[in-house]
Amino acid sequence: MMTLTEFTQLLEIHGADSGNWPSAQRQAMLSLARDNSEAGDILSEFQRIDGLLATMEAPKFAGLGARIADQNLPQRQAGLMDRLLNWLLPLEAGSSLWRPALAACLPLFVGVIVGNFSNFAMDQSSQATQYWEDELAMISLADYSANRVEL
Amino acid sequence: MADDNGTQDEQWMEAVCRGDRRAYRALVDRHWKAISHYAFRLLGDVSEAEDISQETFLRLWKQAEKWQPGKARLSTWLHRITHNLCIDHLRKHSRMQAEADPGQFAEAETIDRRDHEDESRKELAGQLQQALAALPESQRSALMLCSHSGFSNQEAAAIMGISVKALESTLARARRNLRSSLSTEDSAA
Repeated sequence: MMTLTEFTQLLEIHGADSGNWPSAQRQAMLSLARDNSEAGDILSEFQRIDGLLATMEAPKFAGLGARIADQNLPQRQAGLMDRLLNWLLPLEAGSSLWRPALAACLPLFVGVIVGNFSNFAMDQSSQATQYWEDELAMISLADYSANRVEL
Repeated sequence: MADDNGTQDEQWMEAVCRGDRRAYRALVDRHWKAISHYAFRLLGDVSEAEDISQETFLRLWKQAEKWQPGKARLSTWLHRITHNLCIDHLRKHSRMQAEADPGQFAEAETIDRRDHEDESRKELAGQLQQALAALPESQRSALMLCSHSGFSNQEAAAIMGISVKALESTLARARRNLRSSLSTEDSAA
């Protein structure tokens, strides 16, 4: 059974419009407002306040709409990063999910391309190539005669 | 209808991202009244509310890409910008959390009074303006967003940058204070 205090607290939070009341308590609130005259009066009071708030008029802002519409607007200029992204990944309708994912992959693509075309100033002949050449030389110079089996 | 507006807003925002000024004007035409009214209720000054409204739409133009249609309605995003600008403005002028001077709202009150025909309703509207002006800005903001602008509690919380629980607590205090102010004035009359 809902008390008047609970009823008032719910009205304070959700207002007098029963459509905004929590569904779990709506029926109990409606019943209380119908069956209890004090609750009905409280609801009427909140309805009056909400009605006044809803119909409260604004001052007449003379010509404000036109002034905002005609105000000086700066040339729209996207930031450097946005312009780069717009060039690489044009903004199409429905691309809002793919665009950030593709943008996140860009460093990976750049890394692969850079890695493929650059040796990062490492002299290949003095490193890996040299190593393989040494290996081949060692194999060719090895004396296999020691392992020959005399028949 | 709301969905149609949302789709239209989305198309216009895409056009704004491409620098289309006609789309910008269409968005201004649709949203400026709600934005300027909200700014006025937070600041209590017509000329300051006008400046904040202009700044809000300038931000829309400059930062259109930042709006994410899947996350929030455009009106929610615009109210959030307005809310932040108003809070910054109030902080700058050391008016944050201070109860506004009801006299600040006098201009709106007289205009409202002129427009209303029913005498008792005029009186009630005047009392409401006074009571609303006496609330701290967070409570005024929560009430305006939920009871006047029709935002859900979740949307209002997002606009104010607080949790839904905190918003509900603020709303409860605001309605309690408003109810108490109005009933006091009723009994005094």
